[in-house]
This record gives sequence, C-alpha cells and structure tokens, in this order.
Amino acid sequence: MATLELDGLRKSFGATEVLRQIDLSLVDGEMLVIVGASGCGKSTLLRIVAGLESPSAGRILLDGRDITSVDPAARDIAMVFQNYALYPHMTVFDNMAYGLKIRGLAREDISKRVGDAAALLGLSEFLGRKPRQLSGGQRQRVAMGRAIVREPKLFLFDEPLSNLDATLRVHTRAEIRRLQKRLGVTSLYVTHDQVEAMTLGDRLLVLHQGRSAQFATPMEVFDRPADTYVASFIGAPAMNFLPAVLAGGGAAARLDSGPLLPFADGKREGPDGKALTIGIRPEHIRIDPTGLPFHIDLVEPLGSETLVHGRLAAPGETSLVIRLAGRAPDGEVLTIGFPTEEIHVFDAATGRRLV
Amino acid sequence: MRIIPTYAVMADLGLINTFTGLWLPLIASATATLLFRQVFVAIPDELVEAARMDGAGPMRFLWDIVLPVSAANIAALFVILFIYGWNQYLWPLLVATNPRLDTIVIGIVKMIAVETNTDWGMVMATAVLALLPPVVVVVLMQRWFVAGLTEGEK
Repeated sequence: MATLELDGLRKSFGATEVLRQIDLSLVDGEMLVIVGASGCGKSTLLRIVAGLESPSAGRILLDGRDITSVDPAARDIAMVFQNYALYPHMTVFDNMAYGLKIRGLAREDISKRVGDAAALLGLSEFLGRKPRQLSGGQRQRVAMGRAIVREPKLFLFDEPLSNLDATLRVHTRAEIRRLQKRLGVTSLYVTHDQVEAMTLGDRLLVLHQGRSAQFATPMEVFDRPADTYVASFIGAPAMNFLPAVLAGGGAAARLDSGPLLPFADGKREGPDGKALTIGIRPEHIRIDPTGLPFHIDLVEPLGSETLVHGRLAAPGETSLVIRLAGRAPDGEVLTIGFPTEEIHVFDAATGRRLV
Repeated sequence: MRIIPTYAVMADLGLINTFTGLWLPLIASATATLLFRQVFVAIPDELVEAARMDGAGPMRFLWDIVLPVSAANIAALFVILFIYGWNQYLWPLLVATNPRLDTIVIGIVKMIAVETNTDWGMVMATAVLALLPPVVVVVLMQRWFVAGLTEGEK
C-alpha cells in the first residue's frame, strides 16, 4: 500500500547522461511498466529506486517519505532480478527466509510467511530443494517468493521473464499480473518486450535515450503515440511512416507519393508545405481499388493473417508493411488506401505528434 | 629467491627457531590469492545486490554467502597448501635449528645423515608414516578437490 513519486531524477556516469529528468508518480497498487530499447536507462532507473545506484540529482518519495539516501534494505522495497540471483547454497526455504532472518523476525513468523508465499506460488513441495534442482520457471517463482515474504511497499521487477522459454513466459506473465493485483502492491516492471509492456502495465513509461518519451496507459500509448519513436516501438510489426507536407490550410496532408489525406480529427497548426511524417499501422492499411499501386516484395503468411512487405511505386519508393486478415491476394501489385481516421500525424523535424 | 627476504623478515620479527616462524611465511600464498580472486570474481553482482536488499552487510555477506559458495574452492586450496606445506624442506631447514622444531621431512633426512650406519628399515617406515597424512587428506577431500578446481559457479 504505497505511492511512489520520482522527482527530477537524473543520473550520469562520468560525462554520459543516462537519465535526464525523470518525473513520475504512481498511485497505490499501480503497476507501471518501464519499457525501452536496451541502453535507454530503464534498468538504471530501477536500480536507483532500489537504492543500488544513487541518482545524480532528484528525489525518490515512497509514501511521501524521502528515501533517496536510505539504505536499500531499509527502503521497504523488494526486487526480482533478471537472473533471479538466488543463493545457490541455500534451500528454497532459506532463500526466501534469509531477508527475514536478518531482520530478526521470530522463527514461527518466518515459517508462516514463507509457507504462505510458497503455497501462493505452488512451491510448497520444493521448499527443501536447492535452486539448481529447480527448473527455470520454478526458480523464477522462488525469486518472486523472496520478494513477497518481505511484504514490501514496492515491488521492482527487472526483466524477470527474459530467461524463460516462450510458452512459460506467457504463462508466468499472466501469473505475475494476477499476483500483483491480488496483493495490491505498487510495482515497477522493467522490460524491453512490448507485449509484456502492453499486457502487464496499468501505465507505461516509454524511455528513449534517458528521457521519458511517453507516460500513459498502454492503450493511449498505442492509440496516440507521443512521437515517432514511441509509434515505431509499440506495435508489431512497427508503424509505417510516410513523408508528407501540410496542405489545405492545415486540414490535410499531401503524401510525397501523391494523394491528399484530409485529417479526420481537425486541423493542424503550421504553414502549408510544413514537412510531416504520416504514421499508419500495418493493420490499418486497406486494399482499395482506387488507391496507390504497391509492389509486393515478400509475403509472410501467419495463418490467421498475412504480412505483406513491399513498396509504393510512386516517388520515394517508401517501404511499407501491410497486415491483412486472411490470405494474401495473388499478383505482384496491390492497390492500397490509407483510412484517414487511422493516420497519425507527426512533425517531421521534431518527431513529435501533432495533435 | 623469496627465501632471503623472508628469512630477513622473520629474523627482524624474532621468529627464528619458533613454530610461528615455521608456518607464518607459508600463509602468504600467491596460489591462494589467485584462486580466491577467481572465485570471488565469478560471484554474480546480482547476488551481492540481492543480499544488500535483504539487508546483509559486508561481513554478513562474507559469512552467509561468499564462504558457503566458495566452500569447494576452499577445500581444494586446503589440499594443495597442506601438501605444499607438509613437503617443505628448505624453509624448515633454514629457519629452525632447534631439533625440537624439526618437521618429519627434515627428520627423515637427519636419519640418513651417517651413511654407513643408517637403519634403512627405520627410514622407510618413517617415510611411509610421513606419507600417511597427505594421503588421508587427499582421499577424504578428493570429491571437494575435484569440484573446486573444475566447477565454475555454484
């Protein structure tokens, strides 16, 4: 039961700025997923909250208490590491109990807490085993258990699923979400996997080069990406981008490949001729007999749908990916159209979304 | 080449002809330093961090995590250093002139000093006795020894 607030957090390693000005606040029981490509600073951010690194500037407030310079163990935070970091020589029980023993809890109390957590995670029969006798998924659950028994105010997850195989990952993902909701513990979850990000988070923080590119609910990030980076990062296959210019007094975009796309949701500011980037998701591109010719390079059938890679014939030969329900039509050329209500408009110079 | 400076240091400390002088220089072992370094470097950083979050300070981490994790290596090192120390000849010869401090290896050599008058049966028997402790150590520690030298992590 806690709120978390990060206030102007910065971190530099020498001359390298890893995090530049991170501000965010989490409400009680919320799960925030921090997502970004590798090297964007997401793990550093998590480690700063954990107290394993200290920020160069800024404050961390947990439940209103400033914990910026508090020792990691005294922060009331538990962390699940990517490689689990289980103590190899201890049994599952001892792994979970270790932190409690150090805190000086009574023996019965420890047994009860560990027993409860083990039951919750389905680990009761493995309590006497050593980590190396467990499968990857079981180790992962032990790592979760070690976090749960501490009854922390805040859970931190550092890519906890990346060492699991695909099937187990899907299963464990759902399990983590269920558990987090049930326990109602405020959580930070770091991942580079956009599916995890979309499914797990109440809100997403998309980090790009140490900056917060967008901080919103997953659907908002998907529907209204704040800039071209977020737009290309969330969604698979990635959003298509087409060069265009503003036209019709801000009411439409003229694609470099010819057609005029009127905006369905109002005018954009700026002079006619201003360079734009038009974004459209692969699943929103339609086959349209009156549309643009599109040369197919590659067809990837996925069963229920088909990915078609190709390029526009018109000037610029922009490459596009199209996602079609069902099977791909025969032939080497398609004619495609862009539904105007599905297009995203970005400033070509800054990459920012034009509302 | 270490012998002369080591002897000089022992002499300065007044440890010539003492038990301490016999064993103290053998404590400083490059092999041990190197082996322990390798072991400690192999301990993943996450383990250190997990322990920090669990509230274990440096000493606590050493006792609860580092020592148990490197138990096999400590055992391997014990075997190596025990045999090395047991077989020492030159050092005990130099540092101890008092017969009370003679090691068994020195003792055997002293027994053969007078060639014509040597009781070879006695010498051989002593040699066999001298062999027993290292053999016992190796046999008992063999499993750990192999594990410590071959296993990396865990």
